[in-house]
Amino acid sequence: MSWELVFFAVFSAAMLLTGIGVVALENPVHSAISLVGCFINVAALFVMLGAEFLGVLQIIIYTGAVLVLVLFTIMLVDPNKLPAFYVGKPMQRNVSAIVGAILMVELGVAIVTRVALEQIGPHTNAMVDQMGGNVQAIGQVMLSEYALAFEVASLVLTVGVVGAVVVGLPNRLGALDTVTMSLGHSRGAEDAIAAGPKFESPMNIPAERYVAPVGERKVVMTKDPDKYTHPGETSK
Amino acid sequence: MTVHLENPDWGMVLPQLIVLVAAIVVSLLDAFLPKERHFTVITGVTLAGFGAAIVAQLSQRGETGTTFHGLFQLDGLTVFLNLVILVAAVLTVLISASYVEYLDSKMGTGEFYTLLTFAVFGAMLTASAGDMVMLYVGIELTSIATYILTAFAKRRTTALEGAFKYFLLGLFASAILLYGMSWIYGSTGSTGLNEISASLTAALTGSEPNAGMILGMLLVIVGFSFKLAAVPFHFWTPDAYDGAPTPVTGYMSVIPKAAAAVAMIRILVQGLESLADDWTMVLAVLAFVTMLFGNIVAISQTDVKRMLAYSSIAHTGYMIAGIAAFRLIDGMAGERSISSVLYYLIAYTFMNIGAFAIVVWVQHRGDGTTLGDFAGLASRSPLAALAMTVFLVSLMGIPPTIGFYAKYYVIVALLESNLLWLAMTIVMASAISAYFYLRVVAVMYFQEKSEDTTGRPIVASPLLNLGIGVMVVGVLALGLFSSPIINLANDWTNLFSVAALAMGR
Repeated sequence: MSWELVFFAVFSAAMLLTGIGVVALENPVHSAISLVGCFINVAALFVMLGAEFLGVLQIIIYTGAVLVLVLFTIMLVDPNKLPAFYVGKPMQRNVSAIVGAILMVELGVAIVTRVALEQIGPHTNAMVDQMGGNVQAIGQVMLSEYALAFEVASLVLTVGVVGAVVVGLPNRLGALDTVTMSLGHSRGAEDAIAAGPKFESPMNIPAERYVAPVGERKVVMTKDPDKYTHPGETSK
Repeated sequence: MTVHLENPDWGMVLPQLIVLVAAIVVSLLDAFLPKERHFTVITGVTLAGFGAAIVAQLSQRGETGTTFHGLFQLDGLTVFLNLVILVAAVLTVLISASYVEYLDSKMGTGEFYTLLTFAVFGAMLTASAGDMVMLYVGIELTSIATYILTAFAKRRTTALEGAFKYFLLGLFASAILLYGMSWIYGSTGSTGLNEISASLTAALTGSEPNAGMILGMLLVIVGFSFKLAAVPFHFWTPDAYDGAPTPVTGYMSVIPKAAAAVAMIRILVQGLESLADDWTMVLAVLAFVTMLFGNIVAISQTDVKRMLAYSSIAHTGYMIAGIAAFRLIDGMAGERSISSVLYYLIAYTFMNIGAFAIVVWVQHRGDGTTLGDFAGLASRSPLAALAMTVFLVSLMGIPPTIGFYAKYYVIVALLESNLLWLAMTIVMASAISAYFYLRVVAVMYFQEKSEDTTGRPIVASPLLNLGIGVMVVGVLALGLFSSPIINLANDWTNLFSVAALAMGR
């Protein structure tokens, strides 16, 4: 048994365990830390496959940036106010388990059949070596073949920043109130009308029809259309 | 080690470049202009940018080619769709000008127009994408800008709810779309649409398509159906359309939908046309459900804005029916189907933005958007009521409006590819839709408003009035003189079927 196999076994076992930990641990902070472990092991596997660049990116982007952000967010939230994680109905849980399993099997089949059919993409080891290494190969493809998409992706980020400013700028927020919503149901017409008249221009709202919203603005997710609340009421 | 860098053909991307420059200039002007000249200058620059792009796009008529390593392609479809998108963008600026001006003290004119221009840029890139990566990036650019525009009226909780739903479900749709694209990439070994087509044709000679290919195709269809708001992927639509500021609703019912429709045409017709027998079947079922659901649920709506949201779901159904008519039996049938969808898009642009423009107009006079607010509109303003009637009659599909010709072309395409049942469904769905469209007309002409609204302050909206005028003329004139447009729409599909015939199919 070669050392490579031993390392592979160790890293993938650790990856699977920490991956299960992400969904199985009750404390969200523990989940997030478990996810860190999972990502580091994935990076180790990338390095073992000879894709050092992807491994480094995995550490810098996912572990370094995304996960730290997630941890910050979790720590800013009062843990007692977090929603319970296991609120799904048994059927929903079963369905998602089945769908997840199907997707995983599909991925497995895809990988196995490609290897079995020996249909490997253009970037074989020899090809990558010829280009001078991983970083060079990725850089070349990004800035030659996919240059336009690469540039437009930066515009997408720009729009995202502008949008974050528009939506998040507090001094441009008006009065605050609480909303509940359900992703699976659209608010009925009657509910929408009760939620207030849709005046677009502030000046035009006749005083008698305008109810000043009060309280803190939050969007609360519900699973049940009956739990919709309107501005002004706390719950139904 | 050699790096193959291609010098891009900048002339080919000129219209897109103009719009991009306009977006950047608008966002900078926002920072540097004095407050009092803000609105006039920024609106002017945006309109000038779109106008210049239209001129540049018109000058590219009949040209073809690819650049940026095939990521960007210029052909008849690009030109036509970009023209539709730019016209819709100009109309959006016209109908949103007074709204934005009104909110200028609170919310940024600059932000609104920057986001709008970027969204238009993304949609134009989607229309000219020759590669799945480009299609995805273009669609995302449009979608992200649209999520934010939906949340623009942050004062209202319905706006927050709508934007939130649109955002989460949109992300979900993007993930499904990407998953499907990676399956297609995995099965064909390329992201370029022409390469996919070639590799697929080679792989399919004498053998069945493999399961991965079909799965990729289905996932891509699901992803685009979310973006197009087709049933059963429409959950976000009523709330997002309802919550967004009304001018934005007009915009988002057309530009992102046109982008998603063209992306679907690009992938399915240009990339996966060898699988046409499979995807036309899926799309036909999707179109059937979408048309019936949208029209039937619209009946129970008492709010004109929500009614128009469901009606736009129904219209998505008509468009998908047009794509479903695609057949490669002979060159003619396939060509008819895609050009009918393109014509439908331009018809939809005029009549749908028009209908929302009247809702904006009513809101500017201090009213809400329920049927009660539309009561007696004819006695308050005969012209506005008349314009609304024209738009609704066109949405219903009654001659001589553009809506009739749009449905007519779709039905002809369907009949040519032997989808009689789908053609019948379109007719039936239109008959159902007559109820809720005509109800608004009846309310406007034969009911009196319950409260007295005279003397309420109104918002001056010269650009909105101009826009409504343009759209009324467009709805009537483009229908009567439809042959140049349908010929232009045929440009790409002609090329396409010639190429398909040359490949021996």
